[in-house]
Amino acid sequence: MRERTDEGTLIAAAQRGSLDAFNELVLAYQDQVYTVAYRIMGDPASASDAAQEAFISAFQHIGSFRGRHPSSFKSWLMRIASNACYDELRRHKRRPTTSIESFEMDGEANPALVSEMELPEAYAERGEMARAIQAGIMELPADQRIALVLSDVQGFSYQEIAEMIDAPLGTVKSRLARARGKLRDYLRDQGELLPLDYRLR
Amino acid sequence: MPLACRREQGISPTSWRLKFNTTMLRLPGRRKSKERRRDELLSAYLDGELNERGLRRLEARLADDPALRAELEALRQTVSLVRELPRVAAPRNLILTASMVEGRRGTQGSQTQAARSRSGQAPARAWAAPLLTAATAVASLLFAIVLTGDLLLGGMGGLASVPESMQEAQEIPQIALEAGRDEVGEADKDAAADEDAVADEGLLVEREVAPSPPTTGAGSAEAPPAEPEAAAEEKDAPQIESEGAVSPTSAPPALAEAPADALEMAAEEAGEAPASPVGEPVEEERAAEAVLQTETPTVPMGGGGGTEEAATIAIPEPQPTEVPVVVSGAAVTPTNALEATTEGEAWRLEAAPEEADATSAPTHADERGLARPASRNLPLRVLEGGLGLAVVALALATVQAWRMRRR
Repeated sequence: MRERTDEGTLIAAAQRGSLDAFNELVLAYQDQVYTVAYRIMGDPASASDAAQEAFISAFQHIGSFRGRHPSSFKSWLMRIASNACYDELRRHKRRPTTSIESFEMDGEANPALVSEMELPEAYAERGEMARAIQAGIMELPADQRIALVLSDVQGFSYQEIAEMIDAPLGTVKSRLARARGKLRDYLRDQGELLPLDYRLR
Repeated sequence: MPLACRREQGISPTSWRLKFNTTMLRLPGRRKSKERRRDELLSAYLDGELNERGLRRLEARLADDPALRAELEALRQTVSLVRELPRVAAPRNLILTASMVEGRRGTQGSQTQAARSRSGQAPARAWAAPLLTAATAVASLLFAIVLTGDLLLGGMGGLASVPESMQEAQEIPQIALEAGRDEVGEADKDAAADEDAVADEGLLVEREVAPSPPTTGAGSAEAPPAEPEAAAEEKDAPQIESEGAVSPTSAPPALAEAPADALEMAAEEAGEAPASPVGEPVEEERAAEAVLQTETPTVPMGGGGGTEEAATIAIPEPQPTEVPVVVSGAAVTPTNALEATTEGEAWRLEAAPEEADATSAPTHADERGLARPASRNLPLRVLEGGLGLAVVALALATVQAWRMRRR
């Protein structure tokens, strides 16, 4: 409750022009925003650019935010973030980074988020797995990639995603299904998926 | 299949082309759409998006189809893996500085947000379009009123005095004359420019001489004209002086009007056959002005048989000031008018009174009568022109505003 009140207060202050208040919000959301940006853009540099753009844009348009409840700010912010990523993708018109490149500019290794209970091997495996998945995600076309990240990385509902990307519900479902299917095929080919039989062991 | 899938994922134009081609081939296309439909079904199933009927149907299919089960499991794993991806921390703090925001203030972040802002601005400017429309309407109305009034007044004056078709031509010069005359004003009479005076006198002399030969007809006509002539001459002198002074002083407006004046004078004379006893002084003044100010281009007046085909007409417009023509009845009048025009009003003035006893008088009268509305015409024309331009500009702005609004 307290947190929600604080966020509401911060938002109100930011809407009145307080950059300091807005920066508090930035600190609270920057990892989430950066994660989404990283999953969509594929490399840390582009992700930073996109995330920064997203926050600048959010501050400039904070006056237009009409939040009925706290979670709507997150949706509103993520919408801006995904739009910023989309624009960044179009601006650069780059092909998705290959697995090799992502090795060099690795956003996966992140000590801060490692569980203390995790064994080094598990951590390493997790890192490798994450890299493989990210590589598979980068194989997806932008529309499908964004739908997948918003749904499965961030946990938004079909309806929320539809509003965020300004697309009909059916389009969201279709893009998400195709993204998942393609990623499944990619991972299966890469040998990253465990066969049904093994899982039973 | 994965390879085909990846190809399908290419850049838009490529993928479009590929999709199109595969659809045309029918074979791979059919496979893709079948797979896609299957994946959509499984995906919805995983998210609990299937209704009861769909759920039952799918579960029935799964029970009988191991391959389908495998696909579903692989899909389930994939979704789990993505969901379990670790959150990535921002490599650096992304907090904003004032410079970041100020530098970007006014610039739109992303294109979509730019579009949103634009639409936000639209309401703020919503009043612009109707306002411009109203302004255009008002300007158009004023323009119409001024134009109508001008036509009515000008038309009456011109038509009344001029028997010939020259009327229109004459109107303009008349207006100019009037305007020029007003410009110069009586006030300038005081100034005395020796040089000018001399020049003028010279002109005057010439003028005096010139009209004589062409003088026609009625001796009686000559008598009265003579008087006015004398008077004109006398007036000319001071006029010249004043004009001399005038030229330098009243420069721009006078100069501007000089040509017009000359024209008008010529027109008036010609047109005003019926003539009214226009004040000769008036004419003389105008003539003088015209002479002094118009200076420059000399337009040989074709017109009447006048010998004076006077040299200097400084009338820029080829006013059929051969209009001199007009004077009703008096053959000489045309000539005289010519003369006057060429040399300046003085000529004309003299000529006019000279020839026509009756004609000259009425001519003058007409001139005077015509002169007034005529002299009103120049500022009026300017006003009309200005209003016309304003209407056009406002109309364009209004159209633009409505277009912006629609966006």
